Amino acid sequence: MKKAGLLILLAAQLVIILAFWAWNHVNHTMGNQLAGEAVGQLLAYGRLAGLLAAFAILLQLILMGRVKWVESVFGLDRLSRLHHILGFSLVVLLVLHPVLVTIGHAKQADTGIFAQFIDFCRNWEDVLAAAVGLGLMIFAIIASIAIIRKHLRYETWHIIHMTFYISIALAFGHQLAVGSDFTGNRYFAGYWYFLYIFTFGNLIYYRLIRPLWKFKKHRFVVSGIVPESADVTSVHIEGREMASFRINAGQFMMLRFMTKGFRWQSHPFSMSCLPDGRHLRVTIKQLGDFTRQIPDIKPGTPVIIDGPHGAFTARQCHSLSAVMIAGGIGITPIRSLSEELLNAGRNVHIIYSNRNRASIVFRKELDELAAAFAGRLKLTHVISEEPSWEGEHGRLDRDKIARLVPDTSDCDFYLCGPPPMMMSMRSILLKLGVRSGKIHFERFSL
Amino acid sequence: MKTIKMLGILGMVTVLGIGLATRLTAAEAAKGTLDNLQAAYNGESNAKARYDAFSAKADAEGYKSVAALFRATSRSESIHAAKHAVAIRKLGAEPKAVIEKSDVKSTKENLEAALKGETYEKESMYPDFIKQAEIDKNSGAVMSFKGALAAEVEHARLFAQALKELDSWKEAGKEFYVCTVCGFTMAKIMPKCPVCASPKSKFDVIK
Repeated sequence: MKKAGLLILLAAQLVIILAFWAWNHVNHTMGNQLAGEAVGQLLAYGRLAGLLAAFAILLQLILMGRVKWVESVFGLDRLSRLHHILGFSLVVLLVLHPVLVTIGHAKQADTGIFAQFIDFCRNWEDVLAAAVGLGLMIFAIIASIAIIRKHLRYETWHIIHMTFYISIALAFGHQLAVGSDFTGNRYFAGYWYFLYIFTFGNLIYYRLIRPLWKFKKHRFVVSGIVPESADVTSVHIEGREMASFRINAGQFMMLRFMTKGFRWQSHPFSMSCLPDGRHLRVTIKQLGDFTRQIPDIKPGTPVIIDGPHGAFTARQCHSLSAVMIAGGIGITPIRSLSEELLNAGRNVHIIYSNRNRASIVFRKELDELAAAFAGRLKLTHVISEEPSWEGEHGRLDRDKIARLVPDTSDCDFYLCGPPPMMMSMRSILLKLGVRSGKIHFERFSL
Repeated sequence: MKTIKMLGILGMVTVLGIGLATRLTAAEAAKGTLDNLQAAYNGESNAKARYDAFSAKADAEGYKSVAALFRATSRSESIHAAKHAVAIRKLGAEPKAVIEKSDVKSTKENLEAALKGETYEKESMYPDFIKQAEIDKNSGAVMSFKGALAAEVEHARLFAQALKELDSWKEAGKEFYVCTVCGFTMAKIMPKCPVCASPKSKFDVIK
């Protein structure tokens, strides 16, 4: 119901934009531009491309703005995928807008396309800034192409991606200064201001005000740093009135450690223990420059928490049994979720895949959990690169899953691990006849 | 057999005839737009010369703001003439204008004459020219005529207003803005030209 409401709200915005645009061009001083000469049509459709590009950018900000009323309905994973697809589709609109408008104005002024472009940059208010903004946007989108992104450090990619905000600011001026749809129609201009205020209002509230307000209330601090294995560390966090900080097992938070070298970045980490109303725990593997410094954080360091986020929770499980498939550090939400599901009376089978014995995180805790819930929790470790391992060997494939889970009926499946592993598991489970609605996973690499 | 042969020849002649007639009609039509462009070029060039003369007269009679309006409309007409010239050259011809001596009378009479001229252009001349250019599918000419038409409508309105408030237009101080891209004339500054969307940096300010 909520989903349908939000989709209708989105469709209504598109209808409003199209209606304003069409009205402006049908009632143009030179006659109906949509049915007239090619020049008029080039300009009209060029402007439409610009309007839709700007709207899509605002939508992108809402999709990834960790806006609760959107995220709770669609789930971060779906929003993240939509953000990715929309981001690449956006390039078409971003390129079409200047191309069509430049050709249109060049024809109108009987000049060359290049000369017109130079004229735009030199004589048209705010257009040079918009052109620089467009260049930055395209650069940021290119940096997000998988083949390029994998060669960039996360921090480098993140800084490039954040330049989008600068691009939005650079491009905003020209929309209202020279955008024909706004200069000639104050209602449309008013609506456009509203869209920007609404979007940035949400963004500022959910990304800035809310986390700061929660920090003021709870005064989160690091209470302990506990090594779990050679390259995995747990960070324990405590604060005031922790019982009122509501988080579910499986959810994640964006953490910003307020100490030198950390305060300018926030990263997503899952709750790795059952929420107890007293403290939080996240467990972090050293994968990059940021995570490598985690063991150096001192207890007492203040932490700003944005969250909780995500719909990867026990509420998704409607079956009697749950099969939890984890790969590597993907065990963190699985660890907390399994305990919650067991407490809720479900049977749980954890299938935990690692390269070697040393990579297993929470081995002792998982064994203790299995002992505590003997008969209801089955724990299967799968090791891929250690011949001396006496348990399950090799990679998780269709045969292994079919053997380990002979009966998939009345089972919900939770997946967490590297994205290729999750995709492969999803595909295997679908082939084994599991309905897609019974397979739960969430990618939160933002 | 003879009858079939005759019918065949008749058919071929008919097809050739229709083809030729169609080509002639198209050529005539194209010629129609070219003639119209030449007429419009001649008209705008003469209007420019006439408004320059009217402006000098208005200055001499002390109607400073009317003089500014004539200077602005003169600038506008010169832009229209230039745009028509481009469309003429695209059809492979050279623009031709015969500038007639302007019939300068009192400022009031000059305004009445200007209003009459603009009214003819907006109500009759340009609408007919646009129709013909659309039939000929000459988009360049259509745009040029439509741009001129939008400006002539505004010129007529401004001339009518000046006539109505002639006494108050004696004082200097009125400014007019002419879009240098399309020739549209405005009595107050706008963020963009409502005709061609050019920004205000493209406007000539005429006092």
